[in-house]
Amino acid sequence: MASEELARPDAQLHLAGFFPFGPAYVWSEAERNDIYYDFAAWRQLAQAAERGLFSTLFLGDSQRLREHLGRITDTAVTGRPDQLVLFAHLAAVTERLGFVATLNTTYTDPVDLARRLASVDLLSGGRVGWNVVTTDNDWTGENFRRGGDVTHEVRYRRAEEHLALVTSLWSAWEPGAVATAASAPHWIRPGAVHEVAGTGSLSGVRARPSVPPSPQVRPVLFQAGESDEGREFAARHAQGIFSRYLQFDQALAFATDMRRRLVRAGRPADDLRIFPATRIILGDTDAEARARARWFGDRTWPDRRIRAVIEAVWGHDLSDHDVDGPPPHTDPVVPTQTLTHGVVNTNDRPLRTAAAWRELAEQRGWSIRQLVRHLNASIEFVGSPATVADELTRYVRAGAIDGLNLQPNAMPGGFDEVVDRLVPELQNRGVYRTAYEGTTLREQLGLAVPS
Amino acid sequence: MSLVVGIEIEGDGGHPAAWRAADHPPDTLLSARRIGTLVGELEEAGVGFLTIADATPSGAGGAVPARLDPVVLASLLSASTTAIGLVPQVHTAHGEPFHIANQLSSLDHGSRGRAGWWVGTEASADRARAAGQPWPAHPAVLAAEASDVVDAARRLWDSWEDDAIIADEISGRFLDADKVHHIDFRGDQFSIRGPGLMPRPIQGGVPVFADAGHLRPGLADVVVVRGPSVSAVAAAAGAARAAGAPRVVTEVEVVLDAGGGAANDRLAALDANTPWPRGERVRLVGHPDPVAVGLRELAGSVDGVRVIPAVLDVDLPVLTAAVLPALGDLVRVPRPGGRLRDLFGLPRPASRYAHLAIERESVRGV
Ligand SMILES: Cc1cc2nc3c(=O)[nH]c(=O)nc-3n(C[C@H](O)[C@H](O)[C@H](O)COP(=O)(O)O)c2cc1C
Repeated sequence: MASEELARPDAQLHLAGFFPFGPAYVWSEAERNDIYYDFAAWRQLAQAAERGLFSTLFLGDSQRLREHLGRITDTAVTGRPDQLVLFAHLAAVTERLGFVATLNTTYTDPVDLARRLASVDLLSGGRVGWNVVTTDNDWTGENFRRGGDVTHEVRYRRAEEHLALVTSLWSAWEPGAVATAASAPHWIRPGAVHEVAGTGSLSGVRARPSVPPSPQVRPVLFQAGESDEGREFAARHAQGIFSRYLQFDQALAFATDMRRRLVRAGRPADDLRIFPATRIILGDTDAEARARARWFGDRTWPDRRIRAVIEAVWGHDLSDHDVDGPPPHTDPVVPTQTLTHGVVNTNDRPLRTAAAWRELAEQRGWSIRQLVRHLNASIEFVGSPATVADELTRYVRAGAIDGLNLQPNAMPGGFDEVVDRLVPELQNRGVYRTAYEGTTLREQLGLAVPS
Repeated sequence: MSLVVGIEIEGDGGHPAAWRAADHPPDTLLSARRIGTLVGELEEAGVGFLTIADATPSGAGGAVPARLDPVVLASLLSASTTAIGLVPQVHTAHGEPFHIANQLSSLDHGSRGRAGWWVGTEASADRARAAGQPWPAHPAVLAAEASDVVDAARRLWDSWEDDAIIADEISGRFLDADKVHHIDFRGDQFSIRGPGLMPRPIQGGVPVFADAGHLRPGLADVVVVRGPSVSAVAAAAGAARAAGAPRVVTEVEVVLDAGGGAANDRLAALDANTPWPRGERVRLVGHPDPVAVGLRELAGSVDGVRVIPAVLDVDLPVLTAAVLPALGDLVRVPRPGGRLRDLFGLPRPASRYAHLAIERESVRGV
């Protein structure tokens, strides 16, 4: 273990500001109800991230509002601004911060998506990334003309075709072809913009780009999806990956697996940045930080949200159930389980899940509340700035992670503490930049410019 | 009588040879700084709104092939402005209406109520091929699709009632789920379950600018009419109002005495390079005073104009320094923090679902 922990003695931590739209916030602490959708609040958040030398903002995506038992989920912040509309706005008020948008290849038009991403990339001076996802459900397709029954395999085949078309559009405008003076004979060298053709299910597509290459040539590619197909897709195409693994050994195993896949795909093992999502909760002392984490957890897990987790599996309203009592003794109403949507991996089998949860609660003597809090306990970094900085240094130097998708604990001030208190501690340990490396996202992430 | 003045800002101007007369080198055309400075000057001059035209690249030789996504560009500009309306053109053919609705709604939130939608009618072979279709659909299909796209977008904007967000910590509810609605829209080309992804736009609905007769009745807030002369525009505007248009605008091509050259000479020189064909629009060419007179005459029949300057860098300084001042109080100047609907005197619409709230109240009252 000790040797592993020093696997990368010079590795640097990347922070990404991540706003998932979904988790609960402490609403009473917010200035206004709709602050989560307010671009002025986002501006503050982005500027704090840039002050803290974050590598990028990173947004997740869902193209359908979450539902619970056939109604719109009411226990969490839901909905979201269009990511590229938001990022274009934020690009105007920041200079170095990157912007990674999660956009799916299943319900988007590749030609449109290529142009929108290239537009923000060019306007921001080369600060954009695309997290390529396939979306894990058909239910989202009910909002799109491209909807319908799309199997896992078809999704990844489409992802290949979609991405191939997008990247060929991004390469179809030759660099340096536009005139540098109005007296030139042509606005652009004739023939410097090429027509591109799609393949497979996109074989009818013929299109030309209308946006020249940006200072980082084209957006940086990220990926999120963890099946074998997903990991192979990442190994072939992505320079960043949004992972689920944050428990130290699991994170290291995932990173090792991905590096092996990269090498197999003919790439350098270190050509990929791995970002799991988390929260950081600080205090003057470890004890104070733990108390704050408890406060935050209790306030963001009201009874209604606790009960909703159980209802999602049991498939019906359990509002007459005491969340401080045991899980229901009845079995789930199986078919209606599918009415709770929008959370990754909802397709495990309710009868089996219910039995497992009941057994766990019985063994430990847990109430519904204790059970749900246990099931949803995610790895967070809680402690004094020095404690958290030590822990993160260990992760990075061991090569378990490259960065964190960091969720703010409040809007819009949710990054301030990390910026003011944690970042200096990380810098003291030599594990965090003291100035941006360059102007583009590719430069901040230490990635090579594509050929 | 008053007139809302809009300016089309895409490229270097309306004239196809405009880039040769521009003040900046071609390779800075799409620079955020260049466009931001230009738009800052428009806002300073009291211009009411800007439009950003869109077209699918054709590959035709000689044409400037560069352009940005109009909604993305409008959003960038929303960060550096506070008053001017932002009206990107978004075509409906082959588009994903759910994305279009959410993008425009997001622009409206980001600009605090200054977004508009110039509904594009492009039906070119290039557009069809970019969508993987061998040729454009039948005009009747495209027409029905256009109305369906706008109709669906308006329903999505209404799908969150105004007071849907309650953020009630006691009950643990962020939303009142009774106030967020599936739209279950069904058209021939697509269907959408909904709801939209954002709270209701600041303006209730993003104002829709569409050509006269292009959409089913009731879907446009501002109807665009065209004619080659002031009297032709007046006739078209009268017809549009009779058909129920809430507001009417027209398009005007403008070439001014500017940059030390007479308007006619400038136009002739540009045309010698690449001709600017006369279309269905009024074209005003000359000294700022007669151009102002032309705009004043148009104000007798329309509520606003979308001015298409021949060369932005050359015509805009004269337009803002001489033409707009000559119009004086006739020009409706937007107010910082104001909404595009206010500028046109358009009321904020009630959500089509608001009656459900009233029904719920009465049920509770029983
Ligand atoms: C950590 C992680 C984050 C994800 N985030 C998103 C997201 O924001 N939006 C989305 O549509 N899909 C998201 N996905 C779903 C993936 O794109 C993919 O559709 C799904 O994981 C199924 O593919 P897989 O079997 O390869 O994991 C995410 C997946 C993972 C593992």
